[in-house]
Amino acid sequence: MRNLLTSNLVLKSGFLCVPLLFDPEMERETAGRRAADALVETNGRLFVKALSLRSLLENYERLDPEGYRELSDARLQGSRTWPYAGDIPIGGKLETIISGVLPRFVRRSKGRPGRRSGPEDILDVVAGKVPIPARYIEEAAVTIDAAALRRRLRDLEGRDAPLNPPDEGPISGGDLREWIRRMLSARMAEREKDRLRRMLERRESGAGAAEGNRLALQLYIAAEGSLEIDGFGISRIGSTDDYIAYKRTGEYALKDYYGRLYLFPDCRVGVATIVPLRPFVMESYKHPFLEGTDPGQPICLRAFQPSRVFTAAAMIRALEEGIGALLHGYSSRRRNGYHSLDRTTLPLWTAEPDDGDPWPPDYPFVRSRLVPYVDFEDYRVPKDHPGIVSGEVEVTNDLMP
Amino acid sequence: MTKPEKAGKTEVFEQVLPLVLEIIPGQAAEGLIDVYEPGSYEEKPLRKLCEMTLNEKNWSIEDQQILEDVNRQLAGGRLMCRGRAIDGTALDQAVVEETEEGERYLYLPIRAIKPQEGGSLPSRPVVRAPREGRATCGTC
Repeated sequence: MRNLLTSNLVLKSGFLCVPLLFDPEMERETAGRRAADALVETNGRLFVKALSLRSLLENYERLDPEGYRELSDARLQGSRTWPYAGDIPIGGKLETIISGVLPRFVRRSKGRPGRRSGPEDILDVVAGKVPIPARYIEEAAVTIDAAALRRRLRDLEGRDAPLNPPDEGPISGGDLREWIRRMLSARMAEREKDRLRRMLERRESGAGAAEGNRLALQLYIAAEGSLEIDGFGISRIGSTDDYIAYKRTGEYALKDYYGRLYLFPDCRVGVATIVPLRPFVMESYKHPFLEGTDPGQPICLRAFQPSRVFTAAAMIRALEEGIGALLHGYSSRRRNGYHSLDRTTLPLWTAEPDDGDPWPPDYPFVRSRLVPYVDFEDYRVPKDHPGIVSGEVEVTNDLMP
Repeated sequence: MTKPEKAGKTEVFEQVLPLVLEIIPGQAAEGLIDVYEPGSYEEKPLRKLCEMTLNEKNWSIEDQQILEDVNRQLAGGRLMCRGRAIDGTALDQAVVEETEEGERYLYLPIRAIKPQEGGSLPSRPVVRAPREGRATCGTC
């Protein structure tokens, strides 16, 4: 998309026309059709109708998510319409984790079913469970204060003058980019105004307390840098608006080729908001699907394409695949992974990238470098281990063929 | 963690407790909840109860989304109860729990898991024993 917007283009009837490559045969073919709508001749060059400008604006967020996010963040920072926790802006990523990822992994309440609550309710549940210091609650109250909301709404309303579409005819890539940027910015302002209006309505209808709790929770996480509830956690990466969302596995046991059991300690499987979204183990840990024992090792996954777009659904999928692999992926019979649980005398597998053998199509690539040997004997436990007998610790790879 | 109280057939028959069956997709915290009143589940195989729950039609929109998620996991996956196959009856695996109001019930969580076969192996061994310290994963 960015490459397209660096060329010189022509605008005609709301469509972007791109240069038609010069080819004598094509020249002959198009000679009789210049009057047709699809072709435009400008300064002796032919352009072909390619893209609706309106459609480009409507779908820009999907076509160039990173560019859109950069613009969106700049817009939010420029207008200061979003709260800050110290120097840390509470941007869309934290919002996405809190409202999109957290509800998947935190249980509202146990017991017989009643009304199923939505994502909004779970934030109230979390806000109720976490002791949020008073200063964040006060700051949230100021942020959603009706007078302040009205003031911000007025600021935004006076800021953007309506934009006219660019003139028809040739347009440089730079001019087009600038126009698109201003149009997207105006649209973001409209959305922000809608959001502020909704907040005002809720505030005036007396539903502001829950709103305040949620905002106080966001301020608290952004400022403190971390939060953990029911085994699900959020941890900020440095002083940025990027985070790691993680889920604890709890203790679990795996079975080896001979049916012997190995008790694995709890670990945190995390996914950072920085794309590609790939699951890793946050602490120093060993497992057949981890290359060594260092913290931050990616989990070896099969047929998994990490998402290059940050969304709640992609984060949930990466977390689930990572946990699923650690808990359920090891086959005692096939001894899959970098390492075998039992000290086998059978050959393990090494891969030579150029040995000419066909590889299964879902093998993304083959490592040729060597990995360290990891021993699991210290994890061995008897079958009558109290945790396993009582059912507190599950043998999670029993059913893996 | 407190040790869960196993149901035990005699006790349940004496107390006549309802069964709360929850089918949870993947690693989610919450799933599809169905309640079986006493007398309607004791003799039925657990697998049959799960099928009955999954075949119900009158789910809310939120529950339908969970049902879709469960079905996605079951495409290539399986239902598991505490790491084991769902054999036997609900009474074999359920635990007694209590609501905040003090109402006792049997609770049985079932997970729909599609295993991630991380680190699968290439089609033939090439060499190297682990004692000498070297192997590769071959997948990631």
